[in-house]
Amino acid sequence: MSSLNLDPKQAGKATWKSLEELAGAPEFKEFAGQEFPDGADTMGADISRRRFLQVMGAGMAFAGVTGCKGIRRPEQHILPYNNLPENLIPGVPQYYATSLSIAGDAVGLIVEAHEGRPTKIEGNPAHPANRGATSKQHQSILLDLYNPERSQKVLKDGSESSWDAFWKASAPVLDALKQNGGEGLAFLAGYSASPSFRAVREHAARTFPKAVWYTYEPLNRDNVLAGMHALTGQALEPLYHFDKAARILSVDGDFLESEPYNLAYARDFAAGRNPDNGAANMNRLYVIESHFSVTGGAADHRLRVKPDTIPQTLLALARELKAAGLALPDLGTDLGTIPRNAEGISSAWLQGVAQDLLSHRGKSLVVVGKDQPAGVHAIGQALNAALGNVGTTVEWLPSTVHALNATDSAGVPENSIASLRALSRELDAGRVSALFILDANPAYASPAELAFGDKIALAKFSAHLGAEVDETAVVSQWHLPLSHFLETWSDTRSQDGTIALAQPLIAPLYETLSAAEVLARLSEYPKQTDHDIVKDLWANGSEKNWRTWLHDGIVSKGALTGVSGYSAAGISAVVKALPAPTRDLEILFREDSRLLDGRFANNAWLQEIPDPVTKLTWDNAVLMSPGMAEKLGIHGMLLNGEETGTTLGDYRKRPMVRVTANGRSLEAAAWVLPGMAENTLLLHTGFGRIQVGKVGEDSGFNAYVLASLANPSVAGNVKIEKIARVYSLACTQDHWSTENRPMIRTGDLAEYLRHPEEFASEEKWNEHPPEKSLWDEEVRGTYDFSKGMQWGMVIDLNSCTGCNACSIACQAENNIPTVGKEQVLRGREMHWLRLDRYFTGDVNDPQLEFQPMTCQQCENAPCEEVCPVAATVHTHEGLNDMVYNRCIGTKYCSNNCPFKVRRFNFFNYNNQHAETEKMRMNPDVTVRFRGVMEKCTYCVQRIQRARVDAKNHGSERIADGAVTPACGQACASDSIVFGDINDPNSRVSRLKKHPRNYGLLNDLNVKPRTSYLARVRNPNPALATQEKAGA
Amino acid sequence: MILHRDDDPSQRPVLLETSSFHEVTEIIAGPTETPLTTTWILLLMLSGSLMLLMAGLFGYLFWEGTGIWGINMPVAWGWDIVNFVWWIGIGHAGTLISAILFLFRQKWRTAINRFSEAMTIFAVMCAGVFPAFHVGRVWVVYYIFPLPNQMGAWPNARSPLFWDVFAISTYFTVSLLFWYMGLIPDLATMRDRARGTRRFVLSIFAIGWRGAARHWQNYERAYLILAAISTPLVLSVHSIVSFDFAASKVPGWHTTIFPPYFVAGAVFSGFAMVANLLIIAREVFGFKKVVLMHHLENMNKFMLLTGSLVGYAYAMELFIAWYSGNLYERFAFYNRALGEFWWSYWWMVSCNVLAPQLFWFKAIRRNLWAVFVICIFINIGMWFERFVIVITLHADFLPSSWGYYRPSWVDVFTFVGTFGLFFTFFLLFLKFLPQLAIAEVKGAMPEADPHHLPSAGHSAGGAHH
Repeated sequence: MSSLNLDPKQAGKATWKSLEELAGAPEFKEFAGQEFPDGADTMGADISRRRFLQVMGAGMAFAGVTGCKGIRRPEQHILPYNNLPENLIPGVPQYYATSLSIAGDAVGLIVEAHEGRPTKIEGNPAHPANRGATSKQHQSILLDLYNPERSQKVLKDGSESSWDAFWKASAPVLDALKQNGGEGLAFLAGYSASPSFRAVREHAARTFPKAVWYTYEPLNRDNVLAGMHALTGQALEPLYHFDKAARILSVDGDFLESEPYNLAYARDFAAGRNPDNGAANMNRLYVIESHFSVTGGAADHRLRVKPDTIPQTLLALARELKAAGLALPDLGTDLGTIPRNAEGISSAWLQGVAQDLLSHRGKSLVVVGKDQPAGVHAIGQALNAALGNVGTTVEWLPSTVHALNATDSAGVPENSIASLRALSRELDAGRVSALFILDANPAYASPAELAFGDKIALAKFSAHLGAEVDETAVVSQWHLPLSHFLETWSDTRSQDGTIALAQPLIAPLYETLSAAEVLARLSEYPKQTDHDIVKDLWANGSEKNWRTWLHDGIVSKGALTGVSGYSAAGISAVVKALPAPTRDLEILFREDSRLLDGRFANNAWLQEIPDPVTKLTWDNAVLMSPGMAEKLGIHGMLLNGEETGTTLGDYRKRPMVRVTANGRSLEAAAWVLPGMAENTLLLHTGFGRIQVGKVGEDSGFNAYVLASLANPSVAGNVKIEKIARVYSLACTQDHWSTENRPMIRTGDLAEYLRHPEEFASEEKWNEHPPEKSLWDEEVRGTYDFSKGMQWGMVIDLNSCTGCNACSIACQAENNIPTVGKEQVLRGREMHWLRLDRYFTGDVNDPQLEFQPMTCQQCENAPCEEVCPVAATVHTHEGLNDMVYNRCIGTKYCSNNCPFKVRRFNFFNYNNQHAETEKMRMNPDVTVRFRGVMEKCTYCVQRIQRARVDAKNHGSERIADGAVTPACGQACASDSIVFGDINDPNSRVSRLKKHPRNYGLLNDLNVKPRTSYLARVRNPNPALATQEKAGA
Repeated sequence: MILHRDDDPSQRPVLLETSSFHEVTEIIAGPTETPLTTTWILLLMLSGSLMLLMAGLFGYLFWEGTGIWGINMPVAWGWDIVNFVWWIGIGHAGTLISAILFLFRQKWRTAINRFSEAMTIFAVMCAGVFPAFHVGRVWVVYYIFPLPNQMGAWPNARSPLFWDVFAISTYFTVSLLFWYMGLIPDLATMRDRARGTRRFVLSIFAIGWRGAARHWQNYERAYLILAAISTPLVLSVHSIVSFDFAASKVPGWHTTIFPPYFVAGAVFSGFAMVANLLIIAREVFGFKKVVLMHHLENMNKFMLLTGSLVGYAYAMELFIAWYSGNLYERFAFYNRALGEFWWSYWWMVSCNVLAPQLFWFKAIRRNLWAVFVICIFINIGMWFERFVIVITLHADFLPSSWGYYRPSWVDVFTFVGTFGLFFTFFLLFLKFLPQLAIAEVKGAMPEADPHHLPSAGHSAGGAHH
């Protein structure tokens, strides 16, 4: 037995297991290839009760056998490295630069890996598109890598197959296509931002000259491109420079969250919004929008306008500008006919804005949202040109998505809907002999009117490459598993033209390929692996360059030349196509800020992070203004503290409505959102997926059911009625009023400049004088907080956009579990950092306030006092620490926490992870068991790592900036500053001395270490007086 | 035959004239010697099942975690703590009756002290299970005790929960000792009447009581000392329980009125519970000769007093909230009365403040049906009082963190289950131990007066004093 050879190849035929093996039957080979034969570990759907009991009985018996020794920890073995990889010190993470594009919007990233497992994604500070910041999606995409429900195997008609079988099956199809030049071959993909993929694609076009490449991107920029094309005749996209703009008008442009390039925009916008730069240099933001976006929340003046009235509002503004003397090109319509005081349009408001823009020529900016029709883009950019902003606050750059995705490199940019329709026609006509869908899910994410999912079957051969077995996968003949971006070599070009490399952090976990690899194989590209494809394109044999680029993550920074000339030749056509204002009820379909078009529907972090404005998790809902809800008889939300209907906690009985649009109807839950335009509904896309993993199951309502091909982003003539059904909506913050409590301190710029010291002062905001301590504070504490490093944080409410990226970054860094809708409904969400959202002012047209709220690390911590077992204690550096081992879970600390930032493990939330998910965990942070309390630690593990680094360099003191908590690192607007408050030169201690700095609940004498910088609004004095008069 | 002077309440009769020492022994010890009745067995099975339900639900809690309850963030304490404080309050009357009334030589207490002491012990047991099981990690709940350990970690002496541990364990220990002390002469009486195993068991617990004068002397002294020890406990236990709230920062909890208000409320609910149980027992076991109407009436007066104290506390809380000018405090009380949980506040006020006012009327005080119903309402009201206090958590400082609370089915059935625990023990007590203090009742009888001469009659007894 000692010579037992485990390698079957060498074992020889002498040890054959059966006659079939001896005979070399292929079925047996397949059978023997599987470690566990079919059915050994899975239960078929048709299992009988008897069989179930047998299996369960056997399982229990085995459990009993192993349990004979008594209850003990399972034995586990660690595998030591036989040969330690170079530069790898176990326990010390490694960082690699890479890049990622979502819907063509590329950013640079740095990924942290522990012993070869990517555990955390950060932004690459060198990349101009995000400059170190990350979005919710960038943080959460890590979860997709380890998702056990990821597509792992090739499927043929839904049953398991293999890549070999697929290549074998596709070979005759491709051979035939090569013969006829690709006639009948169709590719369908979303936006790619990869030049190397484009290279492979062009090679495929040469291999199959008659093949057609269809681009369908639900998050497309068709309107932007069409508008710019109408204005300039070229495929251009505007790139904004908010730091240079003093006056900004955003027409439905959610540039702080959903527009491409938003991370850089948020950073620039925050930079331009510093009130200490004085009245002349602090920007002012006007927003015209129909729903309530976070950009609307950041606005100094916000005008609620019904969707079909937005174009006319902009034209009315153009009229005011022209009247005030601005030389405008012919906008294709007679501005004189635009009514000055149409419904919903305030001419005084527009005059105020027009005057403000005019007096800031070259320093103003008009931003148009990507869902606005082309005409609005054309007008908006024409206004920018007329105001002299092109080249200063906005650049018209050759479009990256167009360059990398268009079928022809010139001419009218392709339209996603038109493209999908064209493919649909081809399919209907039976002219598609082979259809390859690359990383797209059009069967779900396209207007249901087209019923595209049903048409895929019309292709003679169809294959879908995707990361999950989604709606498109199940209607395609073949489903091919796609590699995660962390398993893929690639490259990206961002909107400004920056080229970045994407390198894998881990070998593919499953039998997956990247889109470039599949296409390379199909088209017989000379290079077959993604590594070779990318390296071949860029390196030109220079290993040194290649290594530098990989290290930096960036090949070259944006060097696109802006265009400023325009002819406005096509403007008339697009402006004439603009809708005219109606009084109809309209419904907007917008990408959800978390799930986007549904591609992240199976991502638990994104499902559970609350929507920034509605604070809903796990669902979308038909959003409407309080006035609209009143009319429909939908109550159940607090209106400024006044209850209007059902009880506050009655989330399980939210009213439902039937919305009918474009001849189709949808029953969905209703939710009241203050600040929505009247006669306007909003339903986010991305929810209501049918073919999705367990996470995304039963979440929300599918907006694509209602959307039309003619206009997928809005529908008019909508009917809505309340129905008898109710629905559970899990909202993390039900109360939207501040109750006149001084949490959020805000005021106008003029006031701030007049009396900066008083602006956020306790005397002004807090009626109640602070409590006095009965103790001699000097001798009371165990530690002397005036010595050594003392950690503190300052959060700038002036720049915080409320986007929630910090919260997900915290979740990723600190192994925070998701708990599911049912638990959120019970108020048990675990986010250590939550974004408090308040509405102030008129409930129909309120202002939006955000406040990141996490453990304030009080010096006089109320939690510490009441813990009977001393499980939460202070450190000499002023941290309020949790000792998980010691915690018995009385929850008293949470009761006594005035900020209610502590989170409790009501169940063993970490017990449900698949093996792969365990790889995601940050090994520096304890994974908490049930029954213990947890909360923000100021990322103490990062402090410790920095301390080790500092000590290795012979210093006891950690340099300022060496520690950035996960939240601050993700923040695009740099609102969270952390550091040593005892160091007079640190950023945080300088901010602590800032006049806008204030601590929360100072009157309780808890002495929080986290403080906030008061928010300064910069309203237009002309409009402010008018608004006051109006009110 | 009996001492009777209507103008002097202290001289009211404690027993009816027909009773003799032997008759008292028969009345009280007799039921413990009869065979088990079907009714008793059925009742025990019922309460035993409820107790098993409670045990099963705690097992479920142990297995799954506290998430099976309705608690959440911000309302991290729910029915568990409400029930805990409620049961502790119920358990309060025992000490008061045993110790304070004893020290004040209120002889009418003899009719109810054994009963109420037993009730105290069982109620404290019911209370004790909640703090033990409400923690997230029950298996390390011993961390709360100051046990020497290799980690050198000690409990946090600043935490009111730590004080609770001592307050409740002291209270339980002293109450148990006090109860057992009082039982010794009666156990001896029962031993003397018993045969066989029963006699053997009883003789162990009677620890050699012979009724000698020296025994009585030691007994009286020890009883007095225990009464003196218990007296401060009446004030301390619920004061310390109230510190769980009062020592915190939560608006609506952080008030100095809590200790006296909690003590008054506890006595209030304890008396109501004793009255409820006594009214039933009086009917079922035929104690009408021992537990007289005016005993119950005295208790009703106590309830009127403590109920009014509680009502005063409610009013004072509202006044101080307004007078303090504190934003959060004001809102907490506004919210209690008119917020999401307004119904619980008004349940509390109607049951605790309004219902006992009916005891101003003598007719109602002496109508046992009315007393029974009012006492039930008082117990409901006191439960709601604790609910109102605990639920204040749902809206404290930052409106962003405000939430709602609703109990789960487990919460409800665990509470129901504690009644099983209570009544199981109570039924066992009723059956196997003397329900009234035989020796004390005898001591309160005219015959116990050394100057009492059966032949001397009315005038002689009346003249002496």
